[in-house]
Amino acid sequence: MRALFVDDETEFLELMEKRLARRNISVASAPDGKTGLAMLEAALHSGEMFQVVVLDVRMPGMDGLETLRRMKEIAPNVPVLLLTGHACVGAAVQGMDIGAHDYMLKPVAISELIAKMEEAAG
Amino acid sequence: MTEAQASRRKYARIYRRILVTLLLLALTPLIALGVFCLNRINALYDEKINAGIEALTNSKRRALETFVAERLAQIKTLAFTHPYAELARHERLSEFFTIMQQNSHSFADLGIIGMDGRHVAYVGPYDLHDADYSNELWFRETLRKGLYISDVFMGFRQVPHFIIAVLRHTGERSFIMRATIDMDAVDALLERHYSGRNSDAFLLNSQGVLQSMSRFHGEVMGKVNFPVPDVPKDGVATFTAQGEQGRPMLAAVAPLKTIRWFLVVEDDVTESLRPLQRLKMFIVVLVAFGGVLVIAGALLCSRLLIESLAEADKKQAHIDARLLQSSKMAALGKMAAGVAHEINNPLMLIQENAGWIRDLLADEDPAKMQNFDEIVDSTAKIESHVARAKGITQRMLGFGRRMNPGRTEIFLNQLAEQAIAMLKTEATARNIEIVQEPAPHLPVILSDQAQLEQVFINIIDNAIDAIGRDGKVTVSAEACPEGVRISFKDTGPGMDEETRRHIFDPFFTTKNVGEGTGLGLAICYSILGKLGGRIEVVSRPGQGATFIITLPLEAPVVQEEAIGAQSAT
Repeated sequence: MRALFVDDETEFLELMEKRLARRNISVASAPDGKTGLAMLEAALHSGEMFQVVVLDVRMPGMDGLETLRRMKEIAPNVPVLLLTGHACVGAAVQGMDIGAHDYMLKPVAISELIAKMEEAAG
Repeated sequence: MTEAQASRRKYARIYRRILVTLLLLALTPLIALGVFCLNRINALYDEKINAGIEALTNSKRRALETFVAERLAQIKTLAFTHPYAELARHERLSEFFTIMQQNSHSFADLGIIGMDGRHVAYVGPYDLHDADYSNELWFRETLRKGLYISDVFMGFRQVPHFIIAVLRHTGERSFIMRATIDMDAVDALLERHYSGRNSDAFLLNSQGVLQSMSRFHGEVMGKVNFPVPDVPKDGVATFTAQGEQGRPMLAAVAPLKTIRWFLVVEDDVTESLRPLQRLKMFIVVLVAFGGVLVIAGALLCSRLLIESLAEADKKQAHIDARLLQSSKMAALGKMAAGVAHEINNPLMLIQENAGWIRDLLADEDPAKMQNFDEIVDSTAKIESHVARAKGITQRMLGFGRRMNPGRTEIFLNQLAEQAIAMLKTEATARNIEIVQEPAPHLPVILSDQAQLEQVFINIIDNAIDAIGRDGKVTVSAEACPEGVRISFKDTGPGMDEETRRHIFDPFFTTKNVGEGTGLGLAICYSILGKLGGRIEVVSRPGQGATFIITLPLEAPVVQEEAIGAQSAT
């Protein structure tokens, strides 16, 4: 499975890459929304699309919800999982309205994360 | 001084101030009115009574003056219209005297006296032919002034009388005509019993010697026991004299013009003052009654005012305390949410790093690693503590969260049953009985099921923790004017005032470190606030605690904007 992680916490991205690689999930990391969008676009052109996107809601610059909105414009079929350290149901509900597949609250157990990713990827 | 004493004193002070003000405001005009009325009535009565006695005195004076003036005129006319030779003849004088007596019996005798002080002629009941008047006062005064009217004296006859003497100078000789006038006629004019009351009328000379009989002051020639007041001619003076048995008498004094006497009229005014006394008494009673009413009213008013003031203050204090708690909760809630958010990110990294260690350990051969088991164990501990911290931050976030509460129909009895069922195992293990008292007629409310369940669980869980072992938690519910009231009573140790005051503060806990977050009841408080209800606690050390939650029949609808505002941070 190929997954795109967008999060401003780079240490978290590194850990996810390493840990998920061991579980046969290749992770592409983007430290902000802009990069994430560019990578999604690149993947679209290359034909090797991500099966799932894991997106942090709260990020400097372009925030998670805005990134989600743009991603849905580029690739409406790619499922997006929202990950947030902010236990705000409101933001999650908003995200769901825009087209997120589901949301998770940080910190989330890796098994749970994988389960959600697999479910989203179908 | 305790707070309660201070506030009691404060209220006592306000009470006194209100009372004094009310009394002053109400009593002053009342008393002023009373005094004014009494004064006016006194003045009016005095005026009326004085006017009455003055008029009476004046009329008597006129009668007396006329009487004396007439006698004087008769004597003068006789003395000056007849020659001495005629008057000195006893038969002629007798004839004149008889004519005079036909008109008035007041003349007792009539005499002509020569310059030697001896009678030339005399008509009268006594033999006075040899009397020598040359050294008498009246004789000398008559010679000096030509006219003399004496004070009353008893004379040879021992009958009160006075004399009128006139001096005439004819060409060849001078003589004095002297007439004695009995006081009987004067007494008749005085009319002592003029109205059948305790009245008196008498004559005094300037030395205060009675010239006529008096009912209350004695016989003729006696002295009265009061000084003769200074009265202008033609005037009348009134004063209060002592009458029979010391009764106050209204007295009027008037000087006579033709004779140097004073007419005194006395009247017992007690009788005529009786209606006045009754009226005065009535006014006094009325004012006193009004005063009593005013005092009672003022006392009642002040008490009622103070009571409602104290009640309002108490309510205000209660509201203040609740507002303070709410604002404390809001501020702490905000802070808690912020802190939880900031902590969640590092928590996730700690967890993932531990996970990474666990992943890496899977590659290792346990036999070749000296501390393999210790590392696995430690990693597990890191993960478990992260999980604990996560639990806390989740609760903190829940506490700070503002959200639209759900509005579903809730059967509180069922909800309580569910909550109790969830804690049954824990309670049974500690030998704690949870009793739900039946509440058959509880209204169904519209509120948030999940949040209310959390509240119930938190409170019961708290009660179980407070009891420790062996005890009882009683859950009861009833309808109340605001909606529904649910009470959770435990047999735990209770709490002191200080604990009670902080029991709903976030992070306030009486449990050992690590056992409680101090958020359970704070969350209840916060949730109930969102649901339009409230939570209170009644407790005393050693007497257990009762948490009472009140819920409205319908939870309020909160605007969505709060959610968006928070998600943007």
